[in-house]
Amino acid sequence: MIGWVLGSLWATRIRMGLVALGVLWGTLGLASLLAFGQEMTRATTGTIGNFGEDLFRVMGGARTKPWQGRRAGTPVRLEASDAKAARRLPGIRGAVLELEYGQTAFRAGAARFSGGLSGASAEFGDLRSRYVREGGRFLSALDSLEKRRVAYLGAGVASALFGERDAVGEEIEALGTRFLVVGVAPEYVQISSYNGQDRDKVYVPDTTLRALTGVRYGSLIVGLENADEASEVRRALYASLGTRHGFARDDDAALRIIDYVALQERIGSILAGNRSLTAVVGVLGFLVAALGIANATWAHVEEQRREIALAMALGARRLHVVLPPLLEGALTALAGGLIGLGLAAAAFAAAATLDVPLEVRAYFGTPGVSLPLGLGIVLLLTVVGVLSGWFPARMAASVDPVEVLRDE
Amino acid sequence: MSDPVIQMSGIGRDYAGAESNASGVETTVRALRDIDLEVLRGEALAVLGPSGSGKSTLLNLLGLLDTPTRGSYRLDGREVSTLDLKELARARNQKIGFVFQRFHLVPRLDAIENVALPLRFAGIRRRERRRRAAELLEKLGLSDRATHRPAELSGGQQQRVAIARAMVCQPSLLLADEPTGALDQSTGSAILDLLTELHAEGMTLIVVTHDEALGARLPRRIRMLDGAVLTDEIVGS
Repeated sequence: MIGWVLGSLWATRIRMGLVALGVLWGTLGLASLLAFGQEMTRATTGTIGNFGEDLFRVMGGARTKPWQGRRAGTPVRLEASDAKAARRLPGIRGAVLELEYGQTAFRAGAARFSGGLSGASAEFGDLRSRYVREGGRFLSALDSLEKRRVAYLGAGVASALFGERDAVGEEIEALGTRFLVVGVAPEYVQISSYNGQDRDKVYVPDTTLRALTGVRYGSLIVGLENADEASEVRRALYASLGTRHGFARDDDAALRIIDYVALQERIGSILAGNRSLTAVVGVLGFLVAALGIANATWAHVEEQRREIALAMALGARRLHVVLPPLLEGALTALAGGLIGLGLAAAAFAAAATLDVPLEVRAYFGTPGVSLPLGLGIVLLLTVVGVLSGWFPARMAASVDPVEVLRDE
Repeated sequence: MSDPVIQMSGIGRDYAGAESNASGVETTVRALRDIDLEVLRGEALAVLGPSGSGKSTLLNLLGLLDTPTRGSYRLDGREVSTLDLKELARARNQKIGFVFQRFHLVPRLDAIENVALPLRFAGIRRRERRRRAAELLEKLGLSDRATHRPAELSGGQQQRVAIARAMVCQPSLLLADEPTGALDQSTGSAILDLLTELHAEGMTLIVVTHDEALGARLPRRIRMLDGAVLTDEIVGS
C-alpha cells in the first residue's frame, strides 16, 4: 500500500513541487502578515500605554455665553481644587493638576539644555505612566508636601545635561535654584504629546513650582475607570467645572478636553482593520492555495484514470485509489506550508538581530512566528490539503474500469 | 471430473437510457440476455462474435468489473452478488487474471514491477513480490527485460509482461480480451502459443475475440450475437 501510494506521488513530483512552492510562498506571506499584525498591535498598544491609559486632558478656555448674570469673555482657569472636585465624580479613577511653566533653561555644570518645566504630584506619575530608570523614582507625595527641590528628568534632558552618566543624585539648576535629580525616564516613544515630548521635560513638585514661580493654574489630567464611560465622564466634568467656574454646559469653548480615549479607540480601530485585512488576505491566500492544489491533484487523477482503472481491475481496494490524491493534497499543503513557516520564522529571527530605530520598534515591535500562530497555520494547511484532495479522491473512486479500459 | 470455475445462470445485463426509439422515448439496451454458462476448471474457450454482440460485456461480468442486472453468477462456487466491495477487490486480485488488447502496463514501472503489481494489492512484501515476478518473467523468457520500462519493450514483450502480471497471483481464471489484437501476426501467434501452453499446464482460459482463426485454436467456442449465446461447441479437449 505505502509503496503504491508513494509511487503515485513520486510520479507527480514536479507538478506538486511547483504547487508546493506556491503554497510555500503564500504561507511565507501570510505568516509574515499575521506576525506583523500581531506584533504591531502589541507594540502599538504598549506605546499608547506609554502616555497613560484612558485619559482626558482638560484645559480651561473662556466663557463665551453669559451665565447666571456673569459676562461672556471671562477666562476659565483650572487649579488644584478643580482636580480635587473631579476626583469625587463617578467613573474617574484619578485627577491631578499639572502646572506648566513653559520653556526653561536648565544647567548642570557646563552643560545647558532648554526644555519644558512642569509641576506635578505623585498621582500624576501614576496616571501618565511615568517610567523610571533603575535606581531612581518619580516625585512622591512627601516631595509635594515638603515642597522639596527635587526633579524628575526626561531622557532627552538627562542625556543633554549628563551624557552617559547616571543623573540620579546629581543636581541641576533652573529658575536660579538647584534641584536634586531623583529619577530619570527611560527612552520610549510617545504616541501623543503636548507642549513637547516628555523626554524634553523636567518635572518638579507642583507645590515647589508654585512657590518658586507663583504659577497656580494648569491643566487637569483625568483618568477614567472605564473607557466605555467616556461620554458620561465628559458630561459630568462639564457640569461640575461649569458650576465651579460659572459657565453653561453647552458652552463648548469654556473647556478644551483632549480625549485620549477616543485617540486610543481610533488607533484600536486601525489595528483591528489591519487584523481584519490580514485575515481576509490570509483566507483568500489559503483559498487560492486550496484551488491550486485541488486543480493539480485533479489533473493528476485525470491523467491517471487508466492507471486507476487498471489498479481496480488488478484488485486494488478503494483505499489504494483514494489515498494517493488525499495524501497528495495534504502533503503538498503541509510540505509547502511548513517550509514557508520555517522560512518566515528564520527571517524574523534574523530581523530581530538588526539594530532597528526605537521609533520603528515602538510601532512594529519584534515580530516572530509564535507557537499559536504556527500551530494555527499548520492546522489550516492540513484542512486545506485534505479538502483539496477530497474531491479528486472522490473522482478517483468513481473511475469505471470498464469504461476506461475499453480498448479502442 | 473437474469442478466448475464459472456457473452463470440466466445472466442479463441492461443499460438504461443509452438509446431512444423513433418517438424519442429512452429505451433499455439489453446487452446480455439470459446467459447460461458453465466453465470447468482447466477448460479453454473462445468467446466469438461481431462487435456489439455482448462478448466484452460478458468478459466484464466474468472479471467482476461489472455486475449483472439479473441472474446468478458463481465464481469458484461463491455467488458473487453476495460479495462486498472489499471481497470483490480480493476476488479480482486472487481469482482472476486479466490480459488486455492494449496491454495496459504502468509506464512509470519497469517490467518486474508491472508483473508484481497485483501482489502489491495483495499485501505481499517487496522481496517476495520481486522473487515471484522474476520467476514468471524467466518462464516467459523476459529475464533480460526485467528492468525495462514498457516504452523500451516491443508489443509482444509488453503482452508477455501483461500475461505474467495476470498469472502472478496464480488465479483460477485467465481472461484475455483480444490478446493478439494489437500485435502483428507472428507475434500474435507466439502469444497464443503461450496462452495455450498455460492452458496445457491447467489454467482455465477464456479468450474474447472476433478473430475466427484465433478461436479455432481453442477447444471450446461460444458464439454470441445480440447479447445471447448462439452456439456453444466443444471440438476437442
